[in-house]
Amino acid sequence: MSGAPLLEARGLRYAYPGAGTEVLSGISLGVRAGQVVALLGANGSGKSTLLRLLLGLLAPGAGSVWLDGRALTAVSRRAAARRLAYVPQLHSVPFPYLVRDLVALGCIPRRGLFRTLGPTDHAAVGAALERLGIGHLAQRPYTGLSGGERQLCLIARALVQEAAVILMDEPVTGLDYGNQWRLLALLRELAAEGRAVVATTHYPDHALSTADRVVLLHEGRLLADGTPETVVTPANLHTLYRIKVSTHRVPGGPLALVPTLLGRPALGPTRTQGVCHG
Amino acid sequence: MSRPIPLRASALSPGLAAAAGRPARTAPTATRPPVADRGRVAESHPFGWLLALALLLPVAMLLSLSYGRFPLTPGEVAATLMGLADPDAGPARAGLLQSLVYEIRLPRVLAAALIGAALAASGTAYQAVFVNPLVSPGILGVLAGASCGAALGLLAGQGWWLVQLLSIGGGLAAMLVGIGIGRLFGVQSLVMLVLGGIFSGALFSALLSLVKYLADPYEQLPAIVYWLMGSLGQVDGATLWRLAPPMLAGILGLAVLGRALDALAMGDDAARSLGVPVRAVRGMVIGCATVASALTVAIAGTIGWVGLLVPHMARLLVGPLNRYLVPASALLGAVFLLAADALARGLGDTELPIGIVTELVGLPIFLLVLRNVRRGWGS
Repeated sequence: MSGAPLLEARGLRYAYPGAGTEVLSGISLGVRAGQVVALLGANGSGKSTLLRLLLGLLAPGAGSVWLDGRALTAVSRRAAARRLAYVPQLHSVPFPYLVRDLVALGCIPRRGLFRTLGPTDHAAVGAALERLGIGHLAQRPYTGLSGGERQLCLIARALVQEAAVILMDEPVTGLDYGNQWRLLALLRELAAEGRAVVATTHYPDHALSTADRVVLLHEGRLLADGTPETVVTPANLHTLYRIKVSTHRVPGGPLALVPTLLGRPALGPTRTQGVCHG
Repeated sequence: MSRPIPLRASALSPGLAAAAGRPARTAPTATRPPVADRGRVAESHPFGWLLALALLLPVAMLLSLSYGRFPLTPGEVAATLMGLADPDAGPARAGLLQSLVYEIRLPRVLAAALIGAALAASGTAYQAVFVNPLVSPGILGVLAGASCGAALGLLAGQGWWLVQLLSIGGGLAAMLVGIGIGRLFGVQSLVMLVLGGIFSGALFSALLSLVKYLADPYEQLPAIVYWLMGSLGQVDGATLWRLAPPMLAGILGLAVLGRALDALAMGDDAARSLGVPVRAVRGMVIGCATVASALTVAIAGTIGWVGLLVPHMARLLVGPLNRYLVPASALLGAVFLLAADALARGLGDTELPIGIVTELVGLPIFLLVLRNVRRGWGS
């Protein structure tokens, strides 16, 4: 599955118009098929900006984005949309679009804005809804759904797009605890099918347990890029978030993070297990 | 948030490692509800309502042509329109029918239908393109700009062509001022675009007051005031034939751009990442909608509420997909304005300005519609 990167950033720099300081300076990273890449960083560290640069929604001040080995600027927006899908942060739409119609918008990169959809498109929509287990919501208005269901609809739209790379902006934000972890499991499934998934997140625990690779952004620079256990370290987390965190190995399982706040000592190993399984 | 995400990986697995390591094609969990439509899921296609509205419009036009101080039967009107003379009626009756239907009533009925369609279709398009269900040609300042331009044209007294030209110019200027104000504040914020439109509406209303103040109080001022209240009484065939093509083209353009409007309603970033050229589409939509709605002012003055109310009524019928909603709004807007015109003609001894009727009738209907619309807006 791995090999040449599907999507690659080379020396990206970006400053918002009118603002003097750079939001991102010198970011390079490549995303390969079958990978879940977690993008971690404090508020304002440039995560969303990086995502928008990777999607070609913003033009970098310097550096470039490469898609399938071609400069993204040389690829038409529609051709890019067939390879790159975007799952925006959970938002509400003011009009009561039915789920099937919202998901069918994922056909636009293939069909364009004017051709009517055919049986293959309907099959793609049906398959995406089935795949995410939301076929029963097809006739429901998106506006009446819960946060978790809406997030699945947006992901279904990305699946209909048949994109090789899916970029998600804080996909678990706004979801309850159970749905957060179910969504993370879904990201793994998508990667197992050979897609590349890039997701920004505020949760180092999620990155640690879900991602193949973690990228840390700190004040617009790449602080670290590597496997979760080498990157999500107490030292790096302290740099990013200015809080003390201790790591504990769950017996036979993943690393667990325990922050020390309000003068409470780090929890001992026995209670650590309780925390992880509770 | 009460309902869990229905995921293939079982929700009951004790830890994430187990859930994450599970292959994609596991058996469905027992809690997954059955799916009625296996395999293919088509989009909504509310053709039934569209067809009903398309049939309703000619009926409404026929009734409107029959209705008036000199009542005709719909049969007589239809026969006259099809060029069939009634052999029993004398030549005098035939001539009367001919002039009444073709010269007096038809321009007015066509104008009412065209104006209603243009206002409703452009209101729908503005709501989609600004991702805001509370905007309309009136609220965005287009009607104020067009009125201001038209009043200037009346003041210049150079004839109707200048009034029409300045209406379009005023409407476009108001839209550009609104967008310009929106741009002044940061990066393409839709809220700022709407606020810009409101600012621009206030600006052009003030300019209109200035024009009125400068107008000759005995001849020009009453003409401006009466005309801006909205009236179909002075519509002439020649104006209609000249202005109908650009208006119809605008409405057609908006209907054709339906799927692009749906994508834009998802937000700019989402639309771009679907491969939609957002700026070009927004420019085209605003252009089409502004020309269509500004020209309604050139024909019959300011007619409020249609552009805000009718899109919501149509959305209740055919849903939010714009390639059906724009034509449905246009048809429903046409019928709505024909009905309002009938009321304007029939309520008193003298004809009421139609702008007053649409406002008086529109307000209570809007309150009724709002109840249902709120559900659609969701959280």
